[in-house]
Amino acid sequence: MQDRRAQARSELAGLQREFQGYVLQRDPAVLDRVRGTGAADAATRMNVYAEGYALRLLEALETDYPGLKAIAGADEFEALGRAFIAEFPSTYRNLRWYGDRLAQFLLQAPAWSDRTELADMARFEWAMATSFDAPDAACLTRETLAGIAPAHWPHLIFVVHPAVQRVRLQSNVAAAWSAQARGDCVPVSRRDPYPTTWLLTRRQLQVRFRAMAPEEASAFDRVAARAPFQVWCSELGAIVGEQLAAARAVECLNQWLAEGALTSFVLDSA
Amino acid sequence: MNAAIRPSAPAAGGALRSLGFGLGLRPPHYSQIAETRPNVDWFEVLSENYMVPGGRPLDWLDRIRADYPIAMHGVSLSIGSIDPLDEEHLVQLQRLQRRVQPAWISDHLCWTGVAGANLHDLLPLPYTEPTLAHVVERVGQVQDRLGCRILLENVSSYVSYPSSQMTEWEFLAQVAQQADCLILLDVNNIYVSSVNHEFDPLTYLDAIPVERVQQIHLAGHENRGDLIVDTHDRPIIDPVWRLYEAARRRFGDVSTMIERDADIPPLPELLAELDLARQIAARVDTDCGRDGSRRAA
Repeated sequence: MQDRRAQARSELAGLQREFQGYVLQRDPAVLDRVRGTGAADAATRMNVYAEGYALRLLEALETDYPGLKAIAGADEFEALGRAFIAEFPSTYRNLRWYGDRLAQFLLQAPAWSDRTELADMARFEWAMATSFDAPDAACLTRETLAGIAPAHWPHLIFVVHPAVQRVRLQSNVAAAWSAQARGDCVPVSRRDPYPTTWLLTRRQLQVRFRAMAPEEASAFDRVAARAPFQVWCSELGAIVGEQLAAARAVECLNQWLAEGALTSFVLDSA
Repeated sequence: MNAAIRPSAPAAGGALRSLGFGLGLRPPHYSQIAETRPNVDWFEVLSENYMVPGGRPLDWLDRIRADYPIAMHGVSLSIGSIDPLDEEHLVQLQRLQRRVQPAWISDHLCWTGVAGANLHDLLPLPYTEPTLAHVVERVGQVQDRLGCRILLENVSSYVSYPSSQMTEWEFLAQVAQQADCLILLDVNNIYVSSVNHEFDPLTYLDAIPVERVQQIHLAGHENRGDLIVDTHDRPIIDPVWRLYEAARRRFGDVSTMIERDADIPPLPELLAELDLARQIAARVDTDCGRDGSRRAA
């Protein structure tokens, strides 16, 4: 009985592997195991599945990467999409997550690695998608902070909202993204020798983004690494000057609070 | 109108009461549904689309759930795959089940991939005794896990296997009986497969146990000449409406919904199509001297 079950299971496994082999690599082995008719032979029938697979994944990439499609052009986008699909078969139950490695692929694929704006756009759009359906959390408010005793302030460790994303970009893909979202012409992307850090936040469930000044980006890096207020404030002083550090820190903090970038705080026990 | 639908745990054998006429809940219609509360009895959501940590999709789902019964419909359970059941997928399904408190949970009688891959398609199984045993065992595992009976839907297919030992309708009926699960009967899929594999769709309907059918799907498809492909991107055609009429005669007042997944039209177009389903059902019920209540098995 056990042997029969094992054999039957092995037969089903073999059929499913061969079927999948056709869909992923057009391996013809399965054609002997499926029925064709005069109306449509076995290969014609299997091609419905094989073509459908690629089209569904392309559609998923188009959903997540409209800006990339806009700056690459439809034909080039399909070419890079099909190359990506061939290299990375989907292992996700939810198509939402397919495409997570597209930016890395574009940086490494010889056909596209010299067009760094494409990988930039892919990283930017993946960050937007990640922020879009990140976990919900209450946002820290100025009112809550107003009640904190002055003696505690140096020891405050802020917790970044889970919807916050930061991405360093060397090209003006954020502007290009905004242009395509408006239905405008996409400006030519350029490579900037000084990368800009973009902050993505989510307010009223809407993802927003803006460029951060270099000192603000450094400060936010430290906040995200759970550095206490006095530490990142002091480090800010090294950039903007000690006299301006506190004012700049408060300015940054107010902006982050307004943007919903922080969710809570704890007191440093060290 | 927040219907207190119990999360699908009826006594063995019988289906739940009908929810009436529903639509698939799709993002282009979120705000209109929340603001205007259209004449739709219930909505079906694609479970995987809401297996995300948070944000706008879940917020819309919560808001619309406050006004309508919701059924959860999955595409990735892969009940017939030789791969082990995906533990993480089941965890997420349970999490969504707790949040939504759905009228019921459904997926497809198919497999979607093997060796860890997912082909994002509903792939046909060979209809053999060993496959039947394999599926029945796994349906039992899923139902134990979710604490309720699930619905399995017949899929459209473009290939069949010479190794099959029974028809698709015999296989579907056997799975439902042996696993004690319910059936989501997709009338369009029956039509599509009847053309692709040259069988009589009424033979299919007649073989399905009445008491197991909990829900009916209707959808449009693309006729490519040599094959019909299940695309859900256009209106339902007349032969499928006629088959729905026959299904209504056989199965009685079963929850019915229209699926549209691509080229999604404005909501009023789908509401008009749903009204057509209502009219057909009313005509059948009048012909049969029914008041819309469920026919005995």
